[in-house]
Amino acid sequence: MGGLLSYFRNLLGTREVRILILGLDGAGKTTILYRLQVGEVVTTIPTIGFNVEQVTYKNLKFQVWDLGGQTSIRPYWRCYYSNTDAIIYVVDSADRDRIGISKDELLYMLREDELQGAILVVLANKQDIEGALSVAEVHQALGLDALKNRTFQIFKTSATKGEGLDSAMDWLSNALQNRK
Amino acid sequence: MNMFASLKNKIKEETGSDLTNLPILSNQTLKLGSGRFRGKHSRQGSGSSIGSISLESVTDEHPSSPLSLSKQDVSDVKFEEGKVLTAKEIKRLEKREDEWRKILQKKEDDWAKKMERKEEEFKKRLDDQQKEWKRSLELLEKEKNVLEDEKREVVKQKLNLEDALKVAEEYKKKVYQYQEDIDQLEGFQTQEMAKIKHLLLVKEQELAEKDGVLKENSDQVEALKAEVGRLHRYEEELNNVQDELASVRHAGERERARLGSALAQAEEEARHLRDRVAVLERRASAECAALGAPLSADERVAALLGERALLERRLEEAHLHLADIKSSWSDKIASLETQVGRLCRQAGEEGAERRRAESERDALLERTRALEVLLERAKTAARRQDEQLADARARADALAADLQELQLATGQEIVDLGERIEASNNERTDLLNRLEEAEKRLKEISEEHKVISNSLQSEQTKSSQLDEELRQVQVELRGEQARCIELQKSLSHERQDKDAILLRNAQVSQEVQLAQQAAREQQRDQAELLNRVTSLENQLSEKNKESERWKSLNENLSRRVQELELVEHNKQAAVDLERDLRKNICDLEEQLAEKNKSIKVLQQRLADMKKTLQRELRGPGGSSDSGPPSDMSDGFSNFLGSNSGSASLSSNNVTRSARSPNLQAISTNHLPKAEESDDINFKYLKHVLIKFLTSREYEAQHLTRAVATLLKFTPEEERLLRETLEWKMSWFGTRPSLGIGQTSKTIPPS
Repeated sequence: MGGLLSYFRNLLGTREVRILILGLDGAGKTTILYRLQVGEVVTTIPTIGFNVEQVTYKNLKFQVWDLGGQTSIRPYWRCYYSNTDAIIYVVDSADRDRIGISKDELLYMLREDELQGAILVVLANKQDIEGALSVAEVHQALGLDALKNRTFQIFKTSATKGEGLDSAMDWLSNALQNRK
Repeated sequence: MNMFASLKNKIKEETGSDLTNLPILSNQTLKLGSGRFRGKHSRQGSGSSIGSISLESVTDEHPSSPLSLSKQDVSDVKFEEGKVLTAKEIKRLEKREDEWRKILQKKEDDWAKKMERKEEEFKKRLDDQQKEWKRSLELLEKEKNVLEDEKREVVKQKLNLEDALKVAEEYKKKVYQYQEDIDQLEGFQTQEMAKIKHLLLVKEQELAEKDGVLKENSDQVEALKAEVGRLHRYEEELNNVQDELASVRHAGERERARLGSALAQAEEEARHLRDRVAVLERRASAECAALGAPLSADERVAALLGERALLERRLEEAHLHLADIKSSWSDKIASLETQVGRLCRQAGEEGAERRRAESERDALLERTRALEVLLERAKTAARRQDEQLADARARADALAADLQELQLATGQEIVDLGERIEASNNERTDLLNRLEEAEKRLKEISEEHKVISNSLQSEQTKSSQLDEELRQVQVELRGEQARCIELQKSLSHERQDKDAILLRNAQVSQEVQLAQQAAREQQRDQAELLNRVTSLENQLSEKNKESERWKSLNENLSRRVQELELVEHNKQAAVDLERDLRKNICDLEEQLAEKNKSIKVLQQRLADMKKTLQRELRGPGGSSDSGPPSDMSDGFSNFLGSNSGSASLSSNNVTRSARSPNLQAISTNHLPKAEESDDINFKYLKHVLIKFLTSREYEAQHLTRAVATLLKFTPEEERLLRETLEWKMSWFGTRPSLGIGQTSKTIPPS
């Protein structure tokens, strides 16, 4: 039945917007996903695999895929890249040691052909933690200045406090509508 | 019964006959009739005969039992008539009755049937009619409903219309008001229009007037233009005439100038002639004298007149000279006055100005002398003129001689000349008058001269006054000199005083020197004191340095104290760190223990696995493969044994124990990671597969790639998987070929 529904939806041309949430393990991807869907902070365990949720934001329906970010399963991200409209890349701003790895992963990901048309939203998460990198520092550390031919925006967020997610989603929904 | 009796009586009265037959007949007929009439009665209910009524009442009493009734009738007949009927008659009658009854019954049945039929028909009709009526009723009700609805609607419409009417009336009122307003406005408009029209008319009239005026003006302008055109010619003519006038005037002036010049020439000629006449008169007198005749008084007078004329001329010249002198004198008087003013101002000043005044006075004196000289010259000139006069007399004598000669030739001329002389006498009188005037002028001038001389004398007196003043000044000078001498005396006095003061000064300077010496001594003392002070300062500075040293030492000491404190802090921190580290170590040891435990568990599992592997290897392998596998298994067991922890190690050989640490180190390095990653990969695979299998095709489509990469599908297998999913999702389409037989990738559908 669901298949039929989605088939009809396909026929009608209202394809759901497909968004991937990526980032290193422990960046807060799953927390952000459920914060977006339920609006609450849920207790999470390390995602070995992925989580898919339907998120409705301002009458826009998103199919949000939260892919596990552990080192050994990061190579499988590329299996999910096809037909992706937007990427939410979550960075742990308090994790100064691994931000270089985060940058490498981001650049490696953006090099993929299947993601050339995807909109990028970078979330500098965990801003509530003291000593976290500021947005500008994250911007610089990720080397976003060198990004060209890419609609992207960086936001400072705190998933546990729910700060900054609304503005990020606002921007993303606007960008998606403008693209269509 | 009474009724019957009465009835019989009535019948008897009417018929007067026996009623034996009649009742029967009547009975019969009546019975028939009653049978008939019953039906009729039910419908009509009317009685035609009396018998019928009686019978009817009987039959009506017992309509259901006609038999008993007939019997009763018979018995009644018996009793009433009192006659006895025979049995045969009765039987006959009974038979007839029966027949009649049968017939009656039949008839009744027929009638009943007919009645039923009719009733049925009526019922049917009634039903029909009822139905019709009902239908009609329903219809009517429907219509009624419809009509009621319509009525309601109509009422509503009426209400609406009433509202509309009200509204319309309001509008009407408003419209009336508007119309009134509009009328008023129109009235105002018309009034204003009338006013404006009036104004327009007035303006038009004014315009017309102004037009007329304009036309007149334009006519006048045209007339004036024409006149101007006409006058242009006149202007030219005027110009010409003016030019002519100017030229004529010019010519007239020229002529006048010419005539003036001619007049002047004529006057000059007249003067010339007069001179000549005068000369000729003198000649004539001279001639007269020359003729020898003593000169008459007239002649002398004439000569004197001539002299006088000459004198007059000279006098005039002298007058001119005098006038010049007067002017120069007046100038000089003015300058003198100014100088006098200056002198008056500078009277108190030195003799330079006095000398100047004296020189001026001298100059004035010289000038007066010059004037006197001039006067003397004038006198000499007069003398010369006298001499000339004498000469002229001589000439006159000569001329008189000539005259005498001429007198003869000019006797007549003399007469004329005598007339002329008279005229000249007149002229002489005039000249005498003039002379007198001149003399008066002379007197005036001489008076002026006197005045001037008086002023000179006053000047001289002034100068004398100035001299006196000078003397006074000199006297003052002498006084001053005397004062000067006195002052010199006082000066000498003061010099003496000065010497005394100098002496005192010298004394004072000596004292000063003494004081300076004392000051020097004091300075020396001061220097000594300064030296002492400097030494004291040096001592102070030394002490300061020492204090600074002490301070620095103090600082150093405090620094050391701080450092020591820091060190103490560090030590405390180190102690804290140590505690933390010890705690960490404890934790790590605990973790290590746990991990060791897990390692043991895993090693046990591995041992199990190994055992199963060995069994499997031994099972199919048999004796032929026993050689190498045993080595292998030995090696393997060695390897695994080394992995299986210290418990197994303790029971094993020394060689193994010697080898084990390295291997253990290796295993601890490699195995956990691999296991971990394998574990995660496995979990991941499981998760993805579960999701893949449980999700709908639409979502599963996104997972084909992941599943394919996780399970390392060949591209063909991946394609198959995807196509199968697409086939499942679509309604139509063919199932992708998944192969047949052993290579088939799918279970054939049952």
